Amino acid sequence: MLENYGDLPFTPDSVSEATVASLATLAKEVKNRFKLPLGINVLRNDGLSAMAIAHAAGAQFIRVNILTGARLTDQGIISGKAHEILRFRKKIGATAVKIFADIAVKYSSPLTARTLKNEVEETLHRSGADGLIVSGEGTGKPVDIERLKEVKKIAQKTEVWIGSGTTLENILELTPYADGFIVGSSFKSSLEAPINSNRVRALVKKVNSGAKQ
Amino acid sequence: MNPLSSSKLLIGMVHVGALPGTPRFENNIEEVIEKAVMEGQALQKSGFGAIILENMHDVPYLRTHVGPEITAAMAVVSTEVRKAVSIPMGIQILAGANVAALSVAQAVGADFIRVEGFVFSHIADEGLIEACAGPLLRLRRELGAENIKIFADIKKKHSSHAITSDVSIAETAHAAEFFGADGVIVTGTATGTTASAQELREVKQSVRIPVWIGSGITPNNLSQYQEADGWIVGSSLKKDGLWNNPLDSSRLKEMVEAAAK
Repeated sequence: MLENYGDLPFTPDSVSEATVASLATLAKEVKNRFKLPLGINVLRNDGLSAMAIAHAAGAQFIRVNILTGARLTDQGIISGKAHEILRFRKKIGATAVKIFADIAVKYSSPLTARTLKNEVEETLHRSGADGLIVSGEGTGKPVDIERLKEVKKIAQKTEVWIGSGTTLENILELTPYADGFIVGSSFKSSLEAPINSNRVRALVKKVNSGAKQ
Repeated sequence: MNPLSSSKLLIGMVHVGALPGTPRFENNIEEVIEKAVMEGQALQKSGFGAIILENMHDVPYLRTHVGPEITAAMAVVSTEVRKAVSIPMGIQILAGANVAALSVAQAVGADFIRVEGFVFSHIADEGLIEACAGPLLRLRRELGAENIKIFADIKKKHSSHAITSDVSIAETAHAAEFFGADGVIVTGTATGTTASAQELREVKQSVRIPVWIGSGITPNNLSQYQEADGWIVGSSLKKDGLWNNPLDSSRLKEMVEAAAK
């Protein structure tokens, strides 16, 4: 997944045309070089631009931090735009691009008291998410396994991915309840450091060994 | 020397196929990319000095602001053309979506943008287009994109200029130069229609920046526009001279020969 992480501090809603054009170019070059499915996340919450870029570059999915409802984030109050993103997806002919939505995304607080069950059900059934992402409190912070279990129980067959804090140490504990893992920081010695390929190989090996058990 | 300031520059249009979200989009971006790359390569191979990528098939055009679907798609198409073609490349996003064009140009490493509505105002077929020089050049600076040249249409085709009828084309050109355009473009009244040789002369006398002709050039009439520094050619390179037809290789050859005379 390609994410404009270097652009901090992040824009709450629509990013500039310069960001859209640059990410589209990068996404196309990455897509040309790798056959793996590609996702796009335009921080902090520009699902429309992410959808536009994914479609243009031939990517398979987007991540949207706040698809529905509203949350207090480090960029201020952000409202979900599920209604716009799903209409836009249809309008531009991008229905093949899947939407993975965060549930109670990291670096944000709820504005009202809502149950996890409500949030999951609304994100799935009223906002059209194709998959869900559960994360811990911040980049690199592990997910609460009880929350993960509850989300997976409600989501049933819908894919649930882990959005932060997956490491070599905890991944096997999470695999029974998660369909995917988004991994970034644990592949690096610091956020600015390049990806350490030994760490990638070790994690892949661990997941494969877990799957065989 | 900057190749864009050279004389007798022949600039070929790549009319990019309909993009996502527009009425004529055919749900296949890969085909759009492939065709643009092929046309860019054909123009380079025939001896053209530069190309411009333009979202010509997105009719009817939006005014000034296109959505991220167009910016992203133009960026992706231009990325691939940039790799396939080494001559100078320009970006134009209709209609007057100059911020998007500058953004795409910077992202893909293009050399210039063609800008509608740089100075003064006019009524285009999309509605009122207003001058953008001030914000556009500030944005260019902000993005660190000063290497991207701006070629500005003056008294542009497909537009009514009654609102500036007391301002001559020479004065308009002068204003564009004063506001920092790197070149100006003189057109006829529409795509494929001829510009006035008299207007070209007046503009040439009023500015020191390059002056390009932006419509209606054919191998037969090019000699009437010898004073121009460059000729942008699109429709006359196409089969039967119609802009929405495919490129015709014999027409490319004739045009390059006419320009070399």
